[in-house]
Amino acid sequence: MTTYKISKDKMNELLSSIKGYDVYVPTELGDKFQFKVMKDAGDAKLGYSQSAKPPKDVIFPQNEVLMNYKIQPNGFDVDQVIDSIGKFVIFGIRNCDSRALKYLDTQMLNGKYVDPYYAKRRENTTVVGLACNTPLYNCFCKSVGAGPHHKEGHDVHLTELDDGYLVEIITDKGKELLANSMSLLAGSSDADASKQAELKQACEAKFVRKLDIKGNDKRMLDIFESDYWRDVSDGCIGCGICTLLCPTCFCFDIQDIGSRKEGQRVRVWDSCQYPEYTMHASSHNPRPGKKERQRQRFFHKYVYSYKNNQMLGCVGCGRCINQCPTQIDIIDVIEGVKNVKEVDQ
Amino acid sequence: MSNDQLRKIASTLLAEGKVKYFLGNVRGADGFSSKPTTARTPEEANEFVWDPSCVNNMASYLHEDKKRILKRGEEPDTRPIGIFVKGCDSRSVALNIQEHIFEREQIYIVGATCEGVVDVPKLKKAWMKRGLPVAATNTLQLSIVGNEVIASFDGKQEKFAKDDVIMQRCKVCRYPNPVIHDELIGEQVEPKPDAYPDLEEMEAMSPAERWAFWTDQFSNCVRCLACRNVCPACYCRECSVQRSNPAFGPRTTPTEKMAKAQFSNKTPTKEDNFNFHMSRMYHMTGRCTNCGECNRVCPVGIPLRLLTRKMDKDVRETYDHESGLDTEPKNLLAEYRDDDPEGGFL
Amino acid sequence: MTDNNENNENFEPKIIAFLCTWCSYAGADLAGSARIQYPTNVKIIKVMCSSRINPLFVLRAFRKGADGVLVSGCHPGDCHYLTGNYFTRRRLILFKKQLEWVGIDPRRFHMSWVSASEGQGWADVVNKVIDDVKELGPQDEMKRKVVE
Ligand code: SF4
Ligand code: SF4
Ligand code: SF4
Ligand code: SF4
Ligand code: SF4
Repeated sequence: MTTYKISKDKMNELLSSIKGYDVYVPTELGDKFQFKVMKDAGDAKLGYSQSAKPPKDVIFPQNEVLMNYKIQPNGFDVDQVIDSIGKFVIFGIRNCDSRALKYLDTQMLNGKYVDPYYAKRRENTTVVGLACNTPLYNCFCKSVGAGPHHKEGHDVHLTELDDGYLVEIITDKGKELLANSMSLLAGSSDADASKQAELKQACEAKFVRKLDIKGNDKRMLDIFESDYWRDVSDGCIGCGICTLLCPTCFCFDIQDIGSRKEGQRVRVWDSCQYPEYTMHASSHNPRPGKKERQRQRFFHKYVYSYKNNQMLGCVGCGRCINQCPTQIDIIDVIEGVKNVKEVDQ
Repeated sequence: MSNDQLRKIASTLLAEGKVKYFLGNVRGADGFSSKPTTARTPEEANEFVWDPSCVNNMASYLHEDKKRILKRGEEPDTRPIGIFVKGCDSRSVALNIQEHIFEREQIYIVGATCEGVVDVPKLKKAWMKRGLPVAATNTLQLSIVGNEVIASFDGKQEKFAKDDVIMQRCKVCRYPNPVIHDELIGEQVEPKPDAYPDLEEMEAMSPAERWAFWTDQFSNCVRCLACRNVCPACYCRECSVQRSNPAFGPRTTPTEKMAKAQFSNKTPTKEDNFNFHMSRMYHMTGRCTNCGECNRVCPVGIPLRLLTRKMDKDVRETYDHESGLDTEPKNLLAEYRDDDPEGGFL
Repeated sequence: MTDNNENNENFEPKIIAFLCTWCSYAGADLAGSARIQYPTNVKIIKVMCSSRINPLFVLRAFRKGADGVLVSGCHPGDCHYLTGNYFTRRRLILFKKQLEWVGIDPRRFHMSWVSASEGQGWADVVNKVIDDVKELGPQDEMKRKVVE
């Protein structure tokens, strides 16, 4: 790992010097932020807090064409779009979101069945992380294994200092990305490193909300049938915001769109909060109500994921809390299991 | 205080078994917001709050009662549902009665006159900006006095200008007093003048500019359908814009195809989103009560209220119709007059 | 909105017309049997009554690539089902305003009353619609890029 420094006014130059990639940067979206392909370096708002939609959609797009087909008089054409997948950079990703990418890897790349589309995009993506200096009100990454200044999963790691950014090049991918821009980087001093450590400490002290996860998974299994789950999901309207916008949620649905002559097969995000998601062909629904559906969300993130991958399915980004229209609060819910009186027989 | 009044009414109703459950708000975990909930016991009802953080329209939760499938052998509970409503929410309840989703006696309405509710994210931002202690939110109490939103905590008071932190819908609210209710909390509130200042900017745009604006907005939509789910006027069991992909084979008959017609694909592309939003808008025509919930819940901040308000304006100007003002059956598109305007026909 | 001016000269628009079977369709039929000339760009879909037209049908036509849509029924008061077209009238007037609000040119979408005896009237309506749509050029905004 090598550490450099770049002054703030040169950041735009650095962004423009990246060639041959689609560079996703945080841009403004009303009073929120969103990762979009950079058209002009001025679009990038590196001082952003958190994007409304996580940048997982670079690697796992919401609307991903898997193939195009066309029926010709003498046979048919199938275009497996996979070869035309380009190269991407996610510039300025927060650690919660990059940790979520690691979680997605456990789902899409592990084991017997590797998702080729995901694998290709993942391989073609360079991750440039940006340390958080001010957590949002509902952030709790520190409680679930990520952290505002963590670097794992980043190819390049940036830290905003008063007079510039500290640039740590961690992997070869990162080196390759910045190969053209080395002239913009200057050496860093010990003072910068200590400043970074100071910022890290200051940021971690700023967290408002915390979650103690010890023993919760066992406890949750004990109260699977409890009315607690009904009570916590009373307000839910089943919109699926908490899952669509969760950086670790990966459920999808395959849609065929087209006529008998031509069309496409598309993968779109889906959510366990929709009744259609678990509907059987017989029209029986094993998760008939919001109690069961919400319970599934909490269990998937805090029990099943841990059991299967030794990694929590929640990285503590707080999006589902910030964006839930009915203030259902995952911290509260998971903390609350400790106080549930009854236990399943 | 209004909190006590609401708690007393709701817990008495539940204790006497006059309602099967009561829909209201309790304090949310982060202290600023309130959270919709269902109280089934008087104790739960004693947690209710009624203050300017109660943004949720509880009428959206009425439909669940209709959609729930009874367990085998379970007798339906015919007692009314208790519900807490503000001015705007009461119109949504009235609309449901107008459209015969519920009968009047199936809902026990506790209304509250309303000075406005706060836009919680805005308030949070303002709070953080002033560097106020976050921990204090545990004891936070909000109230609106005159032109100020007053937040009291730990015996201290912090004042915010009302216009900065309340919801846009409250700035143009013409029905702050519930239009129907069984019990009423609070003093009558002066309605805002009948005007559409929020539409002016858009009206001044050229069609091309409007198109550019809306395509940009629609392209952000993640099709979570929160705007539909939260809407108190959306109660269909199966939504015309959300169908699973139907499989058509060579033997699918036209009738089957008709029944499965897809008006909107699940794929959130720009064109599909446009289609979804136009469909939703049209389905709301003459029914939307402008409660503003769809606009509030959108996670990517699409200004859906520009659509619903425009619709409201059109409907009122052209047909002098407003939905949800009383319980008489009335539906703009299921009625006509011989002398309706003809504008636009060749 | 894109006005595709270069192609407008020889642009042949695709118009989808929803006609009620009792008046407008009969009117179009009469135009045919009376040998009144009108352009062939109109593809007619016959429905029993103009009030059968759900505005979502109109959207779907645009989605599938129609350059213009026309809905036509009996004159008010003449509806075979007595009141159907009164409902159509309310619906479509509002729907048209909504299209305008999001920036779709109102000339893409037309409504008319044509009775069974108005062969010439039908031809006039069609000419007017085609002129309007030709001026606008091909419709690309609402069209889904992959055909269904
Ligand atoms: S975001 Fe909130 S209301 Fe929507 S499905 Fe999730 S928990 Fe339910
Ligand atoms: S569950 Fe909520 S807090 Fe956890 S990663 Fe998903 S959106 Fe973030
Ligand atoms: S719109 Fe009116 S009734 Fe509704 S919350 Fe605002 S002020 Fe209250
Ligand atoms: S709430 Fe917003 S993002 Fe969700 S479907 Fe509606 S407009 Fe789209
Ligand atoms: S404002 Fe939105 S949520 Fe409220 S009734 Fe109208 S469409 Fe439904």
